[in-house]
Amino acid sequence: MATFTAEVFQNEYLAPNTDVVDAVVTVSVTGAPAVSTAGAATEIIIVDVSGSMNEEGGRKMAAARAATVAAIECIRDGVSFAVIGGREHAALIYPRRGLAVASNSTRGEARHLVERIEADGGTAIGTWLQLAAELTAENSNAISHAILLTDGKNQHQQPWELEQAIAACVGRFQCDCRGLGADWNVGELRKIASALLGTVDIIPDPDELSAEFTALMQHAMGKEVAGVALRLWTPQGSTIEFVRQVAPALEDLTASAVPINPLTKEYPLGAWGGDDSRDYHVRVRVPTASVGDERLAARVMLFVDSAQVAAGLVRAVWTDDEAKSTRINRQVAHYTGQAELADAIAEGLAAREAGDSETATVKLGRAVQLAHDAGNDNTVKLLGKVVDVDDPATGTVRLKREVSAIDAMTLDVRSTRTVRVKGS
Amino acid sequence: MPICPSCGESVPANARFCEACGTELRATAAVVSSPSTPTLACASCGAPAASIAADGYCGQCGMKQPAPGDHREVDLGPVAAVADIGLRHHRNEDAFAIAQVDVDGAAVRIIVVCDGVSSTADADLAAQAAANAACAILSTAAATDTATFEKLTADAIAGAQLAASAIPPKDGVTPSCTIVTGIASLADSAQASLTVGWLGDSRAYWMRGNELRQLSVDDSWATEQIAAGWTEEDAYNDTRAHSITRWLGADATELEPRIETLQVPRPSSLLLCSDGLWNYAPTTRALADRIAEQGTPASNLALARALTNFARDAGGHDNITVAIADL
Repeated sequence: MATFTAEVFQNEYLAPNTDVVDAVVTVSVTGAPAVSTAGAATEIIIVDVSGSMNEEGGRKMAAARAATVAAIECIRDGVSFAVIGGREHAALIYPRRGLAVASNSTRGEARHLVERIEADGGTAIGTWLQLAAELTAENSNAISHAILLTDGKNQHQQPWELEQAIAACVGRFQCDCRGLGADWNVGELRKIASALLGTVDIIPDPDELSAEFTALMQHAMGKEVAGVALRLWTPQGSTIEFVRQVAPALEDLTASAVPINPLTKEYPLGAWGGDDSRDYHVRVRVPTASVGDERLAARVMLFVDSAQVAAGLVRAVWTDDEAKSTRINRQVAHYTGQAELADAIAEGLAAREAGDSETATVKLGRAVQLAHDAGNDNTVKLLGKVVDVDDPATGTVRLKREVSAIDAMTLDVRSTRTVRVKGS
Repeated sequence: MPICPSCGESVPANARFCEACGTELRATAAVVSSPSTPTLACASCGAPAASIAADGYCGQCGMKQPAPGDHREVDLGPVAAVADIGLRHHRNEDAFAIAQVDVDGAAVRIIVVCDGVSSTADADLAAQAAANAACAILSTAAATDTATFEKLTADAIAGAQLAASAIPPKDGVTPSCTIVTGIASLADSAQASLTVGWLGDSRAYWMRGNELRQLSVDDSWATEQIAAGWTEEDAYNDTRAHSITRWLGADATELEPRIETLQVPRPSSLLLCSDGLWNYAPTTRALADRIAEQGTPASNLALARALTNFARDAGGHDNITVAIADL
């Protein structure tokens, strides 16, 4: 039986007449069953088979075939699955229609067909998602998950068509998105992954694709608890300023709120693995009260299949003791910094792209400083490929003259990855 | 089986005296009221009691509801009292008990206020036990017996001492509290016969319109120094100013209460309070001004609440109790 816990980190003391309450909530699950009921899972592999996959002497398509086969091998017996080939239209590669149920023979049939995929045509990612949504609808009670691979931009579709397709998939399945090479659009894949509660990353070299697909599928097979949701009760007259996942990566959940009753909102969190732990930063604005009064600013509840499994309290206690009210909780400060870090990278890269090297230097310098302070070593390393760092402590940097597209995209796509508070 | 209000021993239902301590157990028409904590609507937004969660937060406005005892009120109409935790203490160690006895159509009104000494464990229990015991004994009064008020007050404070001493020490610290009592007969339509008694620094005042008179004299270090020739300013600025020199409890040594009896014109009022109120208006003049600022409250309860709020707004460093009886 999976056990969920919710732990709240905050400074509950507010100065008189202040109304903003910040808290970081760590939600963890332990002891989920090692093997879930097999029929209760659906896996869709969506592979870009457009003409551009033939580039690099066919290396990309060969890698995509091998990676898809590797992923299929990871699918447990009994899990429903399908492979979609994406061009300007989506087509089922396996099975011929609907979903297959994983077994030695179906995995073999799928492998046989995947190994014979030929790349040609365009890219309309919205149609791929649409087909995946139709397929998962056949097994709608399951934990549904997809891996989406593309090497290009959504060229053969209007942006609104993609938006519409994404909207139609929300809540149907989770989707991890991977971009191969440097010709895809970080913004497009991030939008899909965010809406569909998945991750996004860059695969710079086709040789890395098989390992990545294997890892993704193994991770997906480890997801045991579906239908996890965060519910927030907040008092009358309050506003939820934001709800952000802040670890393992930044994800703004504010807009995904589903009202449960006038004072309670639900934020879907998708499926969770056996030993998952995630942090959320919640900011609530509450009506002020007198010094000495205590108001509950939020009741944080974790739900699985409409049953409450854990809860925590975010409190507001007004005090005229400045020693108490001016303290900033370490977790809140840390994740506020991590969010600023992601913003600084995004703004720095955008300025660099626009040729505004002054702003780019300031923003990326600030990013180096924040990443350094937080101990976010991976981000420091990625920033080091875009700027020359003179002093990480003060954020003194110089823009590099030559930056590869892959390095800039890698920094961009991984800018939202966070680290947890040091020593905790 | 009923229990003796003074010492807590069981007594036969129709006994006239307690065999354990000798307290007279006369049947009366007393309405004795110590505060209880009924299930209430949200103290902040008025949401129905059903919306208060088990952990004490209102399901509508989120306000933490006062813990049992943090804020207590009893309203008997002409006698009303409020005890509030204030803003800085973690527990409300003030206690009160009020009563109204009707004897042959004449009213006897009774107020007792006790202030638990916060440096002692379970001081809240001692204070409430003492207040209950004193009030129960005073309630045995007969209106026509005003001559016995002083004796009754002495008995009541002695009974309160027994009750407070019965609370066992915790961590080697003996619980203790102050006491101030007031009993008034309204048998005469022109003037009331009033007796107050006290140990410690909880105070009794008589008031009529804008007139206010302090009836009690604090048993405190500051008062003693002033009596010995210090200036008021010097005495009250000393860190020992508020140390009380007499109290109730197993470790109390000076147990002779001070008792004053007076005839006061009617209509007027008796006000008893703990130092949580008078600390913010230590002189009679200051307190009279604070009371005048409240205008003409609709009831004694309204005035008690208003004065409690004044002390909270002024800092609320201590528990606050205000009890008022019409005379």
